[in-house]
Amino acid sequence: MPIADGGRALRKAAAEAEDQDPGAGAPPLSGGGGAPAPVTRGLLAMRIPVRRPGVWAAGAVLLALALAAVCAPLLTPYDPIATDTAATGLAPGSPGHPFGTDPLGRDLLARLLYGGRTSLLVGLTAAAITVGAGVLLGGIAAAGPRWLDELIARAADVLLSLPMLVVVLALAAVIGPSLGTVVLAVAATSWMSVALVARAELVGQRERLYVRAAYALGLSRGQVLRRHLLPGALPPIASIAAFEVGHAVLTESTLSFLGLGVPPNRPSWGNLLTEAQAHLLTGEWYTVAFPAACVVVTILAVNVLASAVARGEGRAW
Amino acid sequence: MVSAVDAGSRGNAVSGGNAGSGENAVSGGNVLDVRGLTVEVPGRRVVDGLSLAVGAGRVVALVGPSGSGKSLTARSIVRLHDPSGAVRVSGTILLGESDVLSLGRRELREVRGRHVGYAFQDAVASLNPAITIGRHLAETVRAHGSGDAYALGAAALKRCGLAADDVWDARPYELSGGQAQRAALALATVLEPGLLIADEVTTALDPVTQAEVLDTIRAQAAGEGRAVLLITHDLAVAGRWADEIAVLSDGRVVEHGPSAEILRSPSAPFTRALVAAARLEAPGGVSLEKRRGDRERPVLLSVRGVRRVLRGRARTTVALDGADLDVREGESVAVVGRSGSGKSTLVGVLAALDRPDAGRVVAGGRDVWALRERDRRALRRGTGLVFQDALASFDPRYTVERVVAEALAGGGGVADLLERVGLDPAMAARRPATLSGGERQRVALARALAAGPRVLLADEPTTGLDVIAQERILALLARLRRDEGLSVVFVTHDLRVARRIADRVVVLADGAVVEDLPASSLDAASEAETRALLEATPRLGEPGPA
Repeated sequence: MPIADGGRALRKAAAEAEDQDPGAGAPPLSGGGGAPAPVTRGLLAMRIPVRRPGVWAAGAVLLALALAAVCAPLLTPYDPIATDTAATGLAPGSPGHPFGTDPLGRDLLARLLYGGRTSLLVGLTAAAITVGAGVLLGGIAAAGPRWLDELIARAADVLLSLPMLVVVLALAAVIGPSLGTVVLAVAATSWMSVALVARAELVGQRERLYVRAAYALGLSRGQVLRRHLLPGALPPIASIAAFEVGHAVLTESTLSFLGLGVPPNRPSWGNLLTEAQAHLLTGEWYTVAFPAACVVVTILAVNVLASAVARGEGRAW
Repeated sequence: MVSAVDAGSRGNAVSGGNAGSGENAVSGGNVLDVRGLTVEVPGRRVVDGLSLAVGAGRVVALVGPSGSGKSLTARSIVRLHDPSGAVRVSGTILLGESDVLSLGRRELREVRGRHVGYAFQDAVASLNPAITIGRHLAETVRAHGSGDAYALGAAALKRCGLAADDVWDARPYELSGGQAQRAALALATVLEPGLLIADEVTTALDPVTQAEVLDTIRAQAAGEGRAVLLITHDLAVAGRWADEIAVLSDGRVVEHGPSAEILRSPSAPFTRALVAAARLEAPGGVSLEKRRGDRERPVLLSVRGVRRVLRGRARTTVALDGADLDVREGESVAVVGRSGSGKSTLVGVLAALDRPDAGRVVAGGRDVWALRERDRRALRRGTGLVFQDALASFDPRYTVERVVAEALAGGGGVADLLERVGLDPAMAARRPATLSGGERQRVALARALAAGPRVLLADEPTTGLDVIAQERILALLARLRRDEGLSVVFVTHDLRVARRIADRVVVLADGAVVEDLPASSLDAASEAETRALLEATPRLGEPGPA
């Protein structure tokens, strides 16, 4: 999961990388543009700009959201599904209900926190699977035999030409509605863009002189792939991955609305938004605003994290 | 043929002069008059009070080392700078009557193309690969609304020695290097501009093609009365093809005068240093030292009857066709030949990177392609490889330290290696893109030497460098050879460099070795290909047509 919790995964990876080749345990070196800034060595030889506070802030926000979702029972005494007829439609700031309640008297804060569990789980897992599968298939297409390349490219074309919902409905009909179905459906309908971009990037990189230079140093195909090709292909993939997180969160709500995802009474940010449609024009703005804000903040944070995977190519005038 | 054209252009230059300079010439005779030009990039003043005049029908060479501000000066003339505003230009640049620096956007567009033609070093890269040469020409003509695109374009191509029927519908990548550069020149001069700026147009070309292209440029000056600003780092080129030489150092013209005079008796200390470096004389005779018994030394690397076919999408090229070469321990072999003669392909084969379609590659007595992949990889570590474009051979995400460290299979220090190639170890933290051309090539050498190779394969490592940086790299190679007993295979299209670095010169033509002789007897070469290369190579002290 290079995107979800980049910091942790990469620091772990850095430890592994230095175990593997002790000679490379060099002191951290410069950042972009020649200005010295410490960086961490990663498994894919990625550079994490440690001095960019925005990246750390984004990571912290995402971590806070995930923690809040995990620790939901500690943060709110309410059951997100239990209705309370004595407290229906309360505005935010009401005593005991800081975010207010919905027309059925369910505490909105509790629903947001528990909803985060579903949404973050689906969003991040589906995006991770999408990117993983996409990079793998793209890599196979770029490095493997011609027929495999054709097969993957054509399969991607066919899937891209089908309406997503049709594919998802067919999948759900076969497997049955569940959280797993949602994750699988999102991954199955969005790996194509990642795979095609990864393939194109890898093929483009493969022809570059520094790859030839790396082979001339006696590196194996795997080493070249890991040290030079994948890090080069990563920035565009990271942008797509960030987009996929948001896409997965929203797809989950679409599927739930159709009765193919999580049960409609179980909260997720998507479900909350779907329910809130009815209140959009009645002045209960907060039923829309809070879940929408959660989705937006998550997507923004993931995007900022993805931008940390900068191209890092210098530029002269 | 070369000398015939030269003689013709000399005659024309006299009669053509200012009178035949056409509609764009100005009364004073100076098409371009730069006064007190200053160009600043963030943190540095690159051009500092430069003054230069170019008269109609004259070829003026702007000569200087890399970083002396040649290209920035040239780009300032048409204000081709990064629009972000990081580059600040001041002074006056008079093109005829108007000051380029005070023009608005619309007037500037009028100047570009119509009054000033610009040809770049990398012609193929300066042309759009997706559209044909004809469309490039037509686009320029239409942008200035000046009549029949085909007629003008065909005339421009003809002036540059190309037939419109052959290249009009060709895309840039389908042309050879020389053809592409001629097409780019035709594009620059299609509207008959009063001034042609040729920015290192022949740096990447072999001597024969270079002579052809530069003859074309001279003919433009002589025949059409065009002023030509020829930017080059090669004094010999300037001496043979330019009427005047302006030597640039630290952003200023330190000396300006007739070519022959400057080369014969340079007065500025910097010009003297430049002329000395350009003579490529080996200090202390390190590389010219006679080695006895070379033939008895063990053969480290050899190729026998190697054939390699490059299969492209549309066409296949036989790059190597029965090439034989032995590289013995401690010797230095220069591989010379025109572009397309198979030099770089030979390097790929010698480096055990490219598998030949036929023939054998033997390293240390073992057939390379009969080995297991693992052993072949180990073998590659025993061969250092240096490319012409050092920057492109580094992962753009890497610092100098990581570039070099990657080649070190544990043990040894990056700092030691950098010192061995004459770099400050403090450079380790920098990105290769922030280094100068010579420094980058040193980093490439440090990487190539990291695994302690016995053979160093260098593919045109000094081609893009100015004479001073080139001289330093060559001296470094000579020292490494002497101190570490390294064998060097040095690919170059420059016979002067070959003579300077090598014990033995191998001449390639059409994928086969046509001549293999000691560097000292190069002048006595008999093969037609070798003679052609020798004749096309400009030499200092042998004044050209000027």
